Amino acid sequence: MVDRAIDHPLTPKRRWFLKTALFIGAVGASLGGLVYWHRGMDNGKLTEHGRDVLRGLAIGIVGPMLPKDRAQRDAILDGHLAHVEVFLNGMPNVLQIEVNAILGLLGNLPTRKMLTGMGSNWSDASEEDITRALETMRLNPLPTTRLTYQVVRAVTCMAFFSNSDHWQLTGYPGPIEL
Amino acid sequence: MSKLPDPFREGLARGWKASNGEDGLPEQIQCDVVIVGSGAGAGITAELLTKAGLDVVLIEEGPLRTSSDFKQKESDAYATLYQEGAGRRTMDGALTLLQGRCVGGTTVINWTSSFRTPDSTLGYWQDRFGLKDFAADAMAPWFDQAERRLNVAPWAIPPNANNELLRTGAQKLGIEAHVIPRNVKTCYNLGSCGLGCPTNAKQSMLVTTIPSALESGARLFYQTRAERLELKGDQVTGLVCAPIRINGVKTSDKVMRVTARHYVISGGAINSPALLKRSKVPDPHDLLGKRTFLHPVAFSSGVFDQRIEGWNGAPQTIHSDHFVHNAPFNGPIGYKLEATPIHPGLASVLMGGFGKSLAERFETYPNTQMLLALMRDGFHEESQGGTVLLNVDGSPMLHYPLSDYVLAGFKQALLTMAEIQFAAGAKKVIPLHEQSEAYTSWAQAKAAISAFEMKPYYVGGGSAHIMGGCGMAGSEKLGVVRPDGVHWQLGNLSVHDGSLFPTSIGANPQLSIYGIVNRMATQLAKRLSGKDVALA
Repeated sequence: MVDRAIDHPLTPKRRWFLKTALFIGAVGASLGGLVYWHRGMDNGKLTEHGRDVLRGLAIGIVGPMLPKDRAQRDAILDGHLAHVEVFLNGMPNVLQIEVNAILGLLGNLPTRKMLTGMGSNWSDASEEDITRALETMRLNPLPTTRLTYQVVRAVTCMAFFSNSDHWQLTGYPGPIEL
Repeated sequence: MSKLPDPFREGLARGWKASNGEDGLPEQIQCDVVIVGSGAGAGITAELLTKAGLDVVLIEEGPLRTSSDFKQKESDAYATLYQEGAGRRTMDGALTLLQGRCVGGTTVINWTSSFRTPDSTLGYWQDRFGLKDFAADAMAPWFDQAERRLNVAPWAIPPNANNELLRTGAQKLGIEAHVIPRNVKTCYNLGSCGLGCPTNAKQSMLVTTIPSALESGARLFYQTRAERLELKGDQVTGLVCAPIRINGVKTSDKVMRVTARHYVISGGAINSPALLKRSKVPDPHDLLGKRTFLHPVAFSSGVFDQRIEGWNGAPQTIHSDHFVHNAPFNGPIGYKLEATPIHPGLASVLMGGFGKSLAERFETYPNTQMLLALMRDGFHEESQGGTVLLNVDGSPMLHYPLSDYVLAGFKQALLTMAEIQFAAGAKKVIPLHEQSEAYTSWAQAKAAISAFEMKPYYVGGGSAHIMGGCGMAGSEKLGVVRPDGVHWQLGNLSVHDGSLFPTSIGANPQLSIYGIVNRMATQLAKRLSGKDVALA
């Protein structure tokens, strides 16, 4: 069956999504008391909180494909974050605003808790915590939460796997040289 | 580094007139015809109008990238050649939309599949939209010319494994499967069509009609966005353009005003109706932007014992129309089957999963074959397409509700693809759906897929074929433009691109655009210049 909750023709959905996101943010803020609204990006640069969220997402989404060696793993994740920053800056402003809103929702405790059920920061979370958080979003009854999963998965995957530095992790040998 | 020639750069060195808006634009220019866009419709139009001796200006919002720039890397290609950095989606985010945004438009990044508009589709247009001149035999000469101009021919080299397995599975099930005609010349069979052809084998507009128009004196402005048309009475009096960076941000508030005898809009579906909406073009029957179609696409991965290397070789060379041509318009939605080329970035999205499951899928990535089913939307009362709306900044958004009817098509298509993949010898099949797992038999897959909940963000899908929104029709009550592409209310405005189609095509649409626009542009050239010209 079609999910009618997101299907009303008079409801432009992106605006509806942003409104819902802001609503969740407002409710989360009131629940959380004094909450700082941390942005994911500022002037084209990932903030510390944005990096925290994106690093955690990368660990959850591509972590099992990374080397076990800590230094190698950290180097790949740092490279990924640099690549994501370029990737996001290549997007139009409206998409950057949406991704920034999502990073904010996932970076701030009350809204992160509502969306993912995860109380700890992404940097403090275990791999199992992050897996549970992603799974909570992926199959969530709320369509906006499922959409959030789809967006963060797409951004992480496209930025990570379209980066030629990571071809060797995938089995892709690279293109035929001309 | 490729040592192959780059004819476009050679042309620029010879003095072709191409200007980057980011470097500054003149305040005012004049010409006979200004064309917005540089893709399939724009290229054909530009070549024919310049052949007629008309002074043509092309306005392209994307960047100019030529074969020397094409490094076969997804990261470069998505950032520079695709709309919204390949991040364009329907407004609810449920479907990813891949469209080109560069000089040459989507023809630079498409997979070269070249089909004439199916007879059944043309018949529907005649019956339902009053397009009496669109009979298959009337259109045939126009398609024939486009095919000769762009070297369209059935692919003569053996298909790669990714495609051959579609034919294998289909034949085992008694389903027809055929070789795909492609618009290539001396193709290296690299498989990088979606990333920009580095050898200029693909006969995109970047290497055919745009060079021909520039050689004849046309002027090209790229990284230059057509913001709005100026109107007076039943005429367009000007086009206002802004200089932009690659990511679409304006570089200044200065604008360029183009005045012309005639204005041709070829920005592609979504962007063309959005420009007309921003311009407040008359729309007395509330049709503009409506009936925008996608060929919503479902995906299925099959894992085989042997290596497939789905990134290698011509991306699409085998197809099956069994489930589209045999499908009545008033029945369940029909779908066309093709293979999906899978470079790592695209594969990571289309294989689904995260964490452990994604890692497991990448372990068998070289052995993975991927099918797609593109659904023929727009023919059934429960498949009326989407609507182009404007965001607060004037940029377009596509509201495309996934109806029960279309979602039922997704389920049926996932079943069909799994059955074909198992028939071809797949050891595992993974449909793109959030409730999906890796299935090891057709019976297991059939039971599981049948139980899938079909709702947005569970069903994985996308589209690379955006059509409609400025539909043509034989009556102003049914269409935005006339059968010759001229706007019903504005006499010096035409639409020449995929937004013309009153329904989806039911096949990859590039040749439909070439053939239909060929006739429109030939007629326009005659009207404006008095000269007879031909594409080939």
